[in-house]
Amino acid sequence: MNWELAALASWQVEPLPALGLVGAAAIYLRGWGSLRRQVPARFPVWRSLSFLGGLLAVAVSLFSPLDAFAPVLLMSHMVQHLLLTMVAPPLIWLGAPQLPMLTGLPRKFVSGGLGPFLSCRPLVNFVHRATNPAVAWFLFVASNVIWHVPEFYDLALRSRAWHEFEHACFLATALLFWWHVVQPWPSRPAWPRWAMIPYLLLADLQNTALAAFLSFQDRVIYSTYADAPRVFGISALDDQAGAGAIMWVPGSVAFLLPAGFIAMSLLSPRRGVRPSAAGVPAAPPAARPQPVARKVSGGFDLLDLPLVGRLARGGWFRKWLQVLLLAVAAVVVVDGFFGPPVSAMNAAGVLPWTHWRAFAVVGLLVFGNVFCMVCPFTFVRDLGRKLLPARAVWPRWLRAKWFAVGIFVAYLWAYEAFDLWDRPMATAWLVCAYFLAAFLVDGFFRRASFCQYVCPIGQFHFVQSLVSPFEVRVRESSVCAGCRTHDCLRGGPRGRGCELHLFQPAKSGNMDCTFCLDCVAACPHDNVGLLAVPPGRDVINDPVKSTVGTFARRPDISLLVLVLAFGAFANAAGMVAPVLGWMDRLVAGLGLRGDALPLAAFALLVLVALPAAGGLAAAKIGGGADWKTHFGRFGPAFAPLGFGMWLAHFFFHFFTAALTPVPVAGRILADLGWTSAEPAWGLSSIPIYGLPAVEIVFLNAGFLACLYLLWRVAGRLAPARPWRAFLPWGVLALALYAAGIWIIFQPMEMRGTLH
Amino acid sequence: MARLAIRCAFAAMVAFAALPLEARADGGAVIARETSEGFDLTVFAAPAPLRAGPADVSVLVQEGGKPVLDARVSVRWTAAGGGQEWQPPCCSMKTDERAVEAVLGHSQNKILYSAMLVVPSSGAGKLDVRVERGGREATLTAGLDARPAPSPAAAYWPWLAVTPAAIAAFALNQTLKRRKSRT
Repeated sequence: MNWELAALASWQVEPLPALGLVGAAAIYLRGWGSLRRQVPARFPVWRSLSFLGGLLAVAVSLFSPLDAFAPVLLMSHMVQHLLLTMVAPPLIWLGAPQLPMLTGLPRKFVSGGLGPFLSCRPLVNFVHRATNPAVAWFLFVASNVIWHVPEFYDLALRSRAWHEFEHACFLATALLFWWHVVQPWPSRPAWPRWAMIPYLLLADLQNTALAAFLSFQDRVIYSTYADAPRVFGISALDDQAGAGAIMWVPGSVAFLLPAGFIAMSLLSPRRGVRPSAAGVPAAPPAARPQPVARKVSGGFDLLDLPLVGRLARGGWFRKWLQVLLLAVAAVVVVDGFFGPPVSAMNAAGVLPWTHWRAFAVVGLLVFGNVFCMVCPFTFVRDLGRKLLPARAVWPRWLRAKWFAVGIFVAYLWAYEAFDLWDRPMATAWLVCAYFLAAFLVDGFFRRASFCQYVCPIGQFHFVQSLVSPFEVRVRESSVCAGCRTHDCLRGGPRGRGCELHLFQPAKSGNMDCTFCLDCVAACPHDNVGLLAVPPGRDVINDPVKSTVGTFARRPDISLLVLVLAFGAFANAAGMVAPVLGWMDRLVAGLGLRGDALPLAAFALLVLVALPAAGGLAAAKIGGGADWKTHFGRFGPAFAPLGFGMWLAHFFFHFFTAALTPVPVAGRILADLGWTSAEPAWGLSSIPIYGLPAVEIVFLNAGFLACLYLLWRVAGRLAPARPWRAFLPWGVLALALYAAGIWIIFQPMEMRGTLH
Repeated sequence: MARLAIRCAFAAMVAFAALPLEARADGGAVIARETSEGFDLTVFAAPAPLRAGPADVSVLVQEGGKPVLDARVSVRWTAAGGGQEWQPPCCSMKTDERAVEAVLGHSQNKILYSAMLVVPSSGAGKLDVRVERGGREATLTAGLDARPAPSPAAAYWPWLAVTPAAIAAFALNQTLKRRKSRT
């Protein structure tokens, strides 16, 4: 490729600004489409094109070669700024975006989230004053002048953060400035229309003065450009003069054109018709926009999607995925026993601890309990039922989640004490033990006792799917009211019923649901779907959830959630240098041969004592005599906080060892004699230095979601004084969040890689 | 269908936002220039001045004023020692001193050869740039001073500020709601 083409190919999309632009476009189009159906004359197609054109101008200025060459070519930088100040803002306002944006946002968010701000008198007064035409003009001009002072301009060129701030200043002040020129419907003009002519001309005067200053200087004003290499064969002084000319001519056109347009519209014979946006004649009086009628239904159903629905309903598809995972498990076991003992070179060291965990949490985040849905242990459970009696009933005293809490704590302890992540053979033994346990438990006990009461992976997924966006539930409750067969529970001619004894009409939330979709297949009325639900709704409302009951009466579930939340932080803390150093010193100080014992004490303290004591103390302080209910209700609100930390932790492992299966697969093929190529052991990950930021985002999201749920639960339990109930739990969440941030900032042991 | 579309758009946006924020060289500021073996070499870095920790380093190779796009370029940082060692946050990568290949396409500006270089400690050090093309080899060595790395809180403050900002906005929202319901 020649260098001119390479220069033109210098595009790069930044995720965050792109997300903002795509989000704005999506919200606008949704609202515009809805409003256009009601008042087509007010929202013609050109308005939407104008708005999208404005966003496109911002995108071009930020992602195109204009940005890439801004540090070496002042002309490029100038065009970039003109797009942000002269092109994008008027186009955006010509799209009359206020109503479309409000209509496009979820109604609840507009009324409950934005509503109080939009109707707050002091805030409205402040905005009114701040957006006065005189203030807007001054801010626009001041921003333009100040940022062209050499010290500030060079600062922006040296620092990316300042450069982004400069662009934000330009765009924000330009939006304010052009608002009064365009007067997007339904805003009312603050000044008479004719006043916009001097408003524009005075701004042009300042622009012309600045442009002339740049054009006629006999020295390079900005030191960055004086030092920059000359890429296009243009001297720094010519570049500066060219930038001045760009600012002068197209810049002036941008001011003079609307000034002339306004003057003509004021002088035209149709003056009686009040011009609207930028002099465009007002549309004929239209009916006041009515609230959009929304379809009331059971919500979006994933099973309604043509391909996804068919795949999810088809039992063969799930079976196929289970076979696939079973094959992966077999590879893990065989390679664990017979492969090299180095975890980064062994499928048992790489696949379960690096990739499977990351995929499972992503599944939980975007869908639901996807792991249980395709669980490979299903086959041995079915085999156990066929070969063994499977008639015993799981003991009543083991049915609560206390047993699951114990197993999960033991699992986390074993993970660190036996370095499971670093010992492929131990991992292989663990997988075998898992298969054996599934075979024996479901071979002797009825129903899915292994899934419901024993499996720690299942418990993890049950809890984390409390914040998943999808749920297996009935579509129309009225259909179930007339049902007498209850096939979803008992089974019927179309398939077996729920193994975990969840009765669909009474089921709510994902607790104890394996997403097996047996109920979907069994229902003769086709009334069970995979419905989108607001994550965490059941934590707030706490309805009776079939056999799960209510959280208020299930302190065992509350403790399980708290243990999993604390476990997320403890598991990550066990890998950071200060904690590892402290553990080594403790082992040496006690004269022990290994760290199993101190780790057991650590696990009991951090995974059992702290969550139990913290939760009970918070419940006692906030709930007083009603502490049992408070413990049961507030505990599940910690699910998103724990989930945020699990996400951060697993993503770290995934991204730092994302490519390790490639050399491991190469090694296995070489061991089998199918290839003689040397595995690419140097291949482990793509260096991603922004990962701490991603981790903080996950943790922030989990913490904020946790606080929100705590607040809503407090509002339900103590409507008169929610603060008192909320604060102790909020402090507990804050302590965990602070610990999480501390962990993220520590040097972390690299696992699953050879480095 | 409209709801489905908006959900799909939302999911796409979330997926897009979750894209790994791979660090990349954006040019930054000029930290060294030299002519060697007929090549004009310009080295950009961000942050500039250099700090301990990861740094975007980009090299513009020109011959006769025109950018050269078929060279092999590598960069290496060698610390003179004595400075404060950089403590990486948990997700940073290796900190060993070795030459890193700078490649086209890594930065937004496709005529720059760029690489992510880890400066393992603050203090004096030297940056070596090596350019090979058509049997010729040009080098640039610049003695530079690396400043201490910013504290993690300073480096990631925009991400940390999101939480208190969101809490403040929510608290204000709830206060306004409550006030409105009283009136």
